[in-house]
Amino acid sequence: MLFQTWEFVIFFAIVMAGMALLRPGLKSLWLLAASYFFYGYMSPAFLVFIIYITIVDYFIGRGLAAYSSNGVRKTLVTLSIINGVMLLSLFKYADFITVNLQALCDYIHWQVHVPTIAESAQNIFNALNIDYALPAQILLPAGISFFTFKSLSYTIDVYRHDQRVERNFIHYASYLAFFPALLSGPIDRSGLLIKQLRHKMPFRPVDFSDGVCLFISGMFKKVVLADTLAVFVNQVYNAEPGSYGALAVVLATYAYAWQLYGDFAGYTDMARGIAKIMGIHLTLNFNNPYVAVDFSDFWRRWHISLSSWFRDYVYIPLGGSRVVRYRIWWNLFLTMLVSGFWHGSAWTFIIWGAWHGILAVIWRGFEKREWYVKLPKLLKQLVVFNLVAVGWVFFRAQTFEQAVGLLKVVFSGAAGTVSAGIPWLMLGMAAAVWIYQLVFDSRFNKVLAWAPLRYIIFAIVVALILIVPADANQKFLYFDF
Amino acid sequence: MDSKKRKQRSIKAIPFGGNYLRLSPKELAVVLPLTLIVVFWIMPAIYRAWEKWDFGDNFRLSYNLRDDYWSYQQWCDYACQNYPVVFIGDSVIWGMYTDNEHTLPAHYNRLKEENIAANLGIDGLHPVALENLVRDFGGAIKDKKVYLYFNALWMNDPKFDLSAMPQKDESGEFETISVMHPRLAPQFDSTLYCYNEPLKKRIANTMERNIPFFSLANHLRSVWFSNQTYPEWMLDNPDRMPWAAVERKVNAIETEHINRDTPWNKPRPFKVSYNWVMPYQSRQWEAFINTWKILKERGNEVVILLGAFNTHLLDDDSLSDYEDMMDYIMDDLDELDAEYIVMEELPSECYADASHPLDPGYEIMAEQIIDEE
Repeated sequence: MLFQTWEFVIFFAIVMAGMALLRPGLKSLWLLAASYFFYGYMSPAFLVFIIYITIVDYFIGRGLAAYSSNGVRKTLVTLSIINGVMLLSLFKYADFITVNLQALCDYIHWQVHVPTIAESAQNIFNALNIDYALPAQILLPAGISFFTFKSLSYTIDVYRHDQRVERNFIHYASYLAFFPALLSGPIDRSGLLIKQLRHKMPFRPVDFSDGVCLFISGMFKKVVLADTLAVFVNQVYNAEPGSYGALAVVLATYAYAWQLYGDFAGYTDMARGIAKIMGIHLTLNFNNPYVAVDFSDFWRRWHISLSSWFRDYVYIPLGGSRVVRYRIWWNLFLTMLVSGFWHGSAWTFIIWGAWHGILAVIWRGFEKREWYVKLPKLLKQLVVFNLVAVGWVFFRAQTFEQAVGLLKVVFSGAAGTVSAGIPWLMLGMAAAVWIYQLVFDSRFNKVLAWAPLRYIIFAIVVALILIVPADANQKFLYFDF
Repeated sequence: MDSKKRKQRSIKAIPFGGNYLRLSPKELAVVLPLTLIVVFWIMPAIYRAWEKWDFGDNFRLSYNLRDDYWSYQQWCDYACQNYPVVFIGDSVIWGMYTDNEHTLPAHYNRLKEENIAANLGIDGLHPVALENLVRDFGGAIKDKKVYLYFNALWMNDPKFDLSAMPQKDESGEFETISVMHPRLAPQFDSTLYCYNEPLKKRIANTMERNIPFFSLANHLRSVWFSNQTYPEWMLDNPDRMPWAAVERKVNAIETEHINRDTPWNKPRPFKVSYNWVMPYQSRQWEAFINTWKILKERGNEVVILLGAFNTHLLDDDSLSDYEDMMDYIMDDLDELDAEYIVMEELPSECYADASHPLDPGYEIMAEQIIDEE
């Protein structure tokens, strides 16, 4: 059920009616039932996984509160981490690992068949005489990366005494399954969300207006910006490398940068808006990332909840910035590499993570240098955007070879075999959004706060949402991660 | 610090977002409805005033625009302002096998020696769709003389009549019964079993029929954007701006259909068997009567044209059932005190198929209508 569909509007109206009519004590239960319905609507089988991880981590949390012994607590939190990582590995990475193991075996001429996870499971079924044929590929439960990370952050925070244990199972389950943020985040920490779920979730007009504005802003990013640009991006990226010339590939890559931003930031804006209408505040997940002046700035603006998750649970435990210089570089690089792998089980994502790791290390070297600080802000923004866009080539490409082929076309200035028309209006729309964000980030931003201009822009945004949409059923890209 | 204060502080620390598209409740209460009113109603009204049409004599809406109900509405508004008589119906009125000058309304005008009748027919317009077309897009049809054509073909089978319950085929799948002009079908009528569009489409169709903006959007796509979405069109026309593609003058006149002179029985006649649906069971007949009622309520003088169906091709059983059905229909109309003309059966060679006359057939029909007047 996508946010921008009528099914969701009806679903949400029913949820809101329940929230308005039920007494505070029952609101969490109602919200949990709604969230499970929302998730089960995609596939009832998905519910098994979220309920499983909810039960396991709820009891591990209770165990962490019950025992004071360091050994027991460490064992419990390790169990939680292994459980979460195993769950992710099983659905997300197992096939990637087996395929690559098989390739390695073939490369060294070792005649062995590495079974896929589905084959292994089938073998177990057969050995147990269970007459059931599994599908060749196991379907990735939507949003698994998001709710697993939420659950892990909870147990780790309880272990570190950063978070009180949640004794109410309904509150904990609602936190993990909270439907606006279930499929693509933001990955809110339990500290912020559970507290709100415990309270009355009162209706406040200002939350309602903020929620509607956020929803409209997100809808614009998704159905006007992302879905429109997707048409051009798909044409270029779905063709054979070499079909399109350098200019088309460069512009399609820029378009993809904005498509991805519009898609994901649009989703989280809508999620935040929906939550806000219900009186629940979710964290800001995107803050105009393409106006970043360096790479640490970029990651403070792009998928903020994930970046901070990796900072708190990977980078800092590795030693963070309180170690010698080369270790800091290694920590940065490794964190970005893991972040790339989180996004998808393919070499292209790992390379994308490595690319950001390298950029983060390089920029750490000179972002505080006087010469860099003195560079015009716009120049720094353009450099960062272009380097981020190079990374998006790997992110979007279906294979490593395709990404390399596209980059070769760009850097050789090749003409291509297909004469591509450049949809300037589409790109102009992305440029207009960029200019708005650049002004918003500058000292002239008060211009944008001028009430009549706000009303006009708001009206244009609403009108474009009604006029432009290509297809209201385009799913969100981050559902696949 | 107590937990409530901590909670408030942490929530307050969350920024709204990276833009100033944040309106206060009062601002939102004004700006959003105002925007929607402008987009939904004022913009289409301005566009309607700006758009230019060229409706000549014996005009009929282009076949390619048969699903463009905005165009139909403009033509209907114009026709009702300029002609005292209108013909309403499906492709029989529209003139499937004739050119613009040889349709039933065109023959009527010629015999009357003045252009007093307008052709408001549309291809494929079964009565269930006709009812909603007249209700939602034909509001201008008031205080007119209306010839409302009844084509029995729509009741020749429960599936065509849309009263059938879809059955499962051998593979266990429900058979598909297509509904022509689905955007005009009743969108939330549980008795229309065969209509199985998804919810989002039903809502979109309902909105199109009630909010001018959506029928305008569809019109623009049909006329100027090759029925593509705007992003697709932009990709196919990278050097053009969408607003530059929209011209003021719409050319909506039919130019492709020409007179056909091959009757249904050439090279050889054949017989068919129809499973007629009696009026008391018929979805289409119910809708047809509703259309008649809507037109009457608007002060029109409505004359129903019954037939002329090609009974030459019916086998004996079908013919007998057809006659029974027509008897029931006439009883119904008598009961309603509705004015009607039973169209005489045309010579066999005057039909192109089961329901469409050829040019000579239309001439005979026009003569009969004028005689009956």
